[in-house]
Amino acid sequence: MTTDWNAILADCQEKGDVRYRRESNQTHFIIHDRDDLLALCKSLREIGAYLVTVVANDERELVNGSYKRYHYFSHPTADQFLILEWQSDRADDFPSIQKQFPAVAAFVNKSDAAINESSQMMIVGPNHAGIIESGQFRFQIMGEQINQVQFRFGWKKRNIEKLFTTNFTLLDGWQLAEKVVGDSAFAHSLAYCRAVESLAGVDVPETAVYLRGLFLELERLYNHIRNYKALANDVAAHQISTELSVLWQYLMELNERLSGHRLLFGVNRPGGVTLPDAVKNISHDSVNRALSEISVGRVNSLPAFLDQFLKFGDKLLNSASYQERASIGILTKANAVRLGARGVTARASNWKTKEDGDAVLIRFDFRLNHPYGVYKTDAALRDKILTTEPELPEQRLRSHEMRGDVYARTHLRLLEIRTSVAIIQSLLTHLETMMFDTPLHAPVERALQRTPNFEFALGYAEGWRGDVVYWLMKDRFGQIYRCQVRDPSRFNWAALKAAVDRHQLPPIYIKQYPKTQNPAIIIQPDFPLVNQSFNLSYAGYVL
Amino acid sequence: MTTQQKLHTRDLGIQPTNQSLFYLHFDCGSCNGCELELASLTSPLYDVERFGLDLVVTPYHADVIALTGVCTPELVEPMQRTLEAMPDPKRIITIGDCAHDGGIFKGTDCVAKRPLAIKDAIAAHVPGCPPPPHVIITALLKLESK
Ligand code: SF4
Repeated sequence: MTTDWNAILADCQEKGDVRYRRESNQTHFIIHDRDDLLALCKSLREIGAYLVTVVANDERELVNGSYKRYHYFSHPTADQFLILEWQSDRADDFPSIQKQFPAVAAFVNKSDAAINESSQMMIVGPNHAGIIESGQFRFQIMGEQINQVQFRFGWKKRNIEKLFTTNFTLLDGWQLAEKVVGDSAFAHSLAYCRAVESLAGVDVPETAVYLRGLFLELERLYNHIRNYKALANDVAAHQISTELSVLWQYLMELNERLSGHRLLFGVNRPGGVTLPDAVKNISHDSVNRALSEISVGRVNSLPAFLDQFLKFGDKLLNSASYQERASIGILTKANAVRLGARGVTARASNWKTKEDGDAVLIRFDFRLNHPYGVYKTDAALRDKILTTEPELPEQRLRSHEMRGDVYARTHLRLLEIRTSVAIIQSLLTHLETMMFDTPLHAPVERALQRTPNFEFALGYAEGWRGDVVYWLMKDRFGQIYRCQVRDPSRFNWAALKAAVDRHQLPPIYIKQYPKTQNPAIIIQPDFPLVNQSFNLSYAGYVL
Repeated sequence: MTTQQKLHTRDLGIQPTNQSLFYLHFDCGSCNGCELELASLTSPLYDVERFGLDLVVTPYHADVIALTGVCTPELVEPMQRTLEAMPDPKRIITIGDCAHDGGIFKGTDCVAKRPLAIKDAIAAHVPGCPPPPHVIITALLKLESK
């Protein structure tokens, strides 16, 4: 694959101008010709590259300024970003790459085509029954079956990207970054801080790198368990869901003891991390002691915690009732790739199919694709993540096409929880030998002043939903000129739609089953379960 | 202090009442942090149902609305309609800094001017970003015994 990638780089060199590269894994070209850009996108699509983000920026006030659009591409097997820049004097003069990369539609704030009015509609929202964010689902239904679903999320718009530029400086933007999506606060602030660090060109102290790795995994852990609990609740497995919600609360309290905040707010800073004064060191010992205090002796260590979880997690997965109910909401691999799905959503659709033969599975995990922080320094951690990608055990498959469904996503979460605990254990071993009395963050202010104005940088982190990407540009006063936030939910809502819409069913189901027994057809009461298995963010989508 | 200790009614300084309070959740543009903490209430560690606090899913049954988020202009109308559907006395408890005055969003155009009906209904506020569950419970219990 790298040869193909290099061939495209050479092609770009021919068709465009190279621009200064900030990081060694980012190559930037300006493309002038419309057809060249489309041709490049086409060949990128052919080698299996994916779209990372698209940033549209109004740079008219710069020298020789114009409207610009930056397309970020990457490839699952290469730790490389390719930036294709397009300039124009008109705001609406941009070649559409939607034909090559349909995922780009997620960036366009255009509502989907109106549903045929003559069919039966069911509108749910914006307020829902339960503790959920506001958003509207519009179902086109036929009897009980869902034909099609549309989402309306504009209700929650908080103008986050604008706020970054008006109310925050480069140094304190982390405060807003962690409030974009509260349950991924650490991943978001980490991505933001990494963008600032990339702009300033500073390195983070080693202890801070490990602490960041630790907190990122803790965030993944509590959210996966929370999700698992909600799934169990949705299929009325109340014993399991109750037990898991206790475990979830233990983790929240553990977060508070280690970082000073239950949701890990306020830990990241550009240049490193800060810990409350009370936390002198973090080691196996302190974590185990905290856990056993929190749980009043019920779980005394992380492995014991994992055992406790697996007891109930496996119970849910092995119950015939869950297997029956969870065989819905199938996101095919083709759809996942086409729509650029991220994180667990994409990985769960990644089971080997018979047609694949020995082909490599596509990986959507920035911890492996673009290793950063601890995942870069520690190859053993990457191996741990690699072994998470399972072959679905044969006995659990009722037929070989059952993949990318609710069950697969649940199962993958279980495996990821196991991996997360293993990673945390090994990080704790490292942290045991590290110094906590040295400063945990490097100074960035000076270095930022030296950065030329109107430079931009990319920051990314693999949160529990998928990769969070921040694009930051410095303005002439050293503040934020533009900050673009790309939560994984941006792509994944389209994936959820594809898993629910009837016309996007995997063709094999249409042939195989009579209409009334088709396990892939979703009836209206099934939707909450499918939605929960994706567990996407509303706030991260409307920003 | 462990969670169990935090939640002894004795330590909270609150007399258990023989009343109950049904709360409904309404998100007015939050970051999901406050929702997460609200959802913690029903976990057995807190078990709010023993205090007579219960989550309901429709405004027709609600005694109080737990409001989270900055109150964006788009959500003012749905909020008002939810309030209208609620039986009297209409009460709102604002949860989190955002819901109070916008928090870090204060003064920006995503924080809408609240109509009088909503303003008048606000009976209590729980500070914090997000407020931890035991603080929310304390506030709800105070409201319950009013
Ligand atoms: S108060 Fe904090 S946690 Fe709650 S919605 Fe606002 S930003 Fe999120």
